[in-house]
Amino acid sequence: MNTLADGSISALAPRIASGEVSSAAVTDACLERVAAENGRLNAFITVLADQARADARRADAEIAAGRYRGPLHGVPVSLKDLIDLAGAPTTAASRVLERHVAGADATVTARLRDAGAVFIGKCNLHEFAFGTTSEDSAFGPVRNPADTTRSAGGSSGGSAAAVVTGMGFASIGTDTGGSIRIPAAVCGCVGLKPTIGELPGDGIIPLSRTLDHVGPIARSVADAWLLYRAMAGNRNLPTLRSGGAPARPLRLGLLKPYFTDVLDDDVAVAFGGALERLGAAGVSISERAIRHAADTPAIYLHLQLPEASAYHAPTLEAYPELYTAPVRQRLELGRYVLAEDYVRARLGAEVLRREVDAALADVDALVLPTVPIMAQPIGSTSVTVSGLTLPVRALMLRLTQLFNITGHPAISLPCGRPAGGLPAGLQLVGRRGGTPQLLTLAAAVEAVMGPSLVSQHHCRIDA
Amino acid sequence: MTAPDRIRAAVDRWLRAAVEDAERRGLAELKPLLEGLAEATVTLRAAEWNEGGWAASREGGGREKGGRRGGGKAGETSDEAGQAGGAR
Repeated sequence: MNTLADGSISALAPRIASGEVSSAAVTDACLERVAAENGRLNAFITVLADQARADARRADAEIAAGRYRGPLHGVPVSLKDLIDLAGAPTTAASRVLERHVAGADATVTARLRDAGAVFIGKCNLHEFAFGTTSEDSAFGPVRNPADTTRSAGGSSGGSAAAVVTGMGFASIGTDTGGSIRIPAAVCGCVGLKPTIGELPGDGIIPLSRTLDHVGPIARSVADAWLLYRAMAGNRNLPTLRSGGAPARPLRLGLLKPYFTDVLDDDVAVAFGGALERLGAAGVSISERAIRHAADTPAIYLHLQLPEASAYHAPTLEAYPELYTAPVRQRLELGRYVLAEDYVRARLGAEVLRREVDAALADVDALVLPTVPIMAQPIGSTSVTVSGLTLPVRALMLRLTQLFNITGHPAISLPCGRPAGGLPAGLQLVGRRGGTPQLLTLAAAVEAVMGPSLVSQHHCRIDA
Repeated sequence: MTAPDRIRAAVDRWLRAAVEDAERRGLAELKPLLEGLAEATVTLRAAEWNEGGWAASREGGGREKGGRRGGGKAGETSDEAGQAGGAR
């Protein structure tokens, strides 16, 4: 196997900058991995092999001419296929957009292009990002690299599956209720949802405009930082401080009880082990509560459903048969939400935002599991956890959707592979507007988690 | 009828209208989803932070009887809108 497709951007970038390895060779390695893995995982909808090779050769020429753009220059990455890349199809994994080709780059795409990134393809997803398993796709389900009978999570499932198997060094996803963090957790990589509104959403097909976020899926916190900084278009953001001991002991607020009362045993083991390691490393952990956390799903539904239905109303009327049945049904459901309930949900969002702000008042970040269950078998609709049989979709969203409602930045890190080798994720939540500080803290937490976990981010794991 | 009962009754009326509308439109498969949404709507309207919720109306009896912010009024408004939704 060509190992040039493995490793982190942070380790690769100096080698490309120095000419030790070429972008062309790295891009070829990633495309070889796509050829080897995509049939098994169905992570890509469109592979842009010729275009990527041409872009890589151009990057090599620029670098040889002394025009190095920075750590993303010549690095192969992918985009979730609802983010526009000029000249390439944007399908959103739906037959509704069967013949749509993007006329221009999304702003985040353009910024990554300016940073020198090489786009190797567009990744599979849950149709229109409206789901948590990446199963309902016009192109078939995405499969989990750790066990291909299981879901890769969603909606950015193809992105996470690609990142952990060397089909590109990172991917850009979107997150409306957890769609970056959930697949990152169940596939075993890093997923960042920045503060709401921080990264531009133009050129990206929306799901729910007040809840949508765009962000990176990567193999390390440092790599997520590089992509976040490039997409923010803010060259004044500093280099991530990582590797060294923090100036003072970190203080984490452990969210309870809603956030830990329904947990799969394997997730509980992985998360508990992570907390023990953090405690042993000197991190101060104290409990925090969000008083109205149990109202989160009701608030989320009354925001997300009608916003999605409003966007899709014209095509839902014109071409209902082109949607997958589950997505069409949820879009139709949103048309029955009353305006007065949407307004109530807006009020509830404000209540939750203040409560999360208060929980963060005297800690550096909040900590909780990312997903309360492990990756589920493809096709499963319910699961029994803590004695309760609940819908898979509701459980997948349970611990992430709150921070879409409140807009706080949140990041998922791998925190272990308990029984069966399936990954589990730990989630950190920072202050609104404090994404750089959250990433700095996450790098420290990642260091405590240990290199054994980091090394598993991008290995092949055959079930 | 207590405030929570009024909320439940109003949501039940909305649910009946919504299910009828969905069936008329050939979308009978929406029924279980609408039932789930109805449960979430009851939770939303009954939330203590909700100024039209049952807790608020319980705290202010005068409001409940004569004001526009009581649980009963919220229920009436919801029912009217539910009918409008059903006629869509």
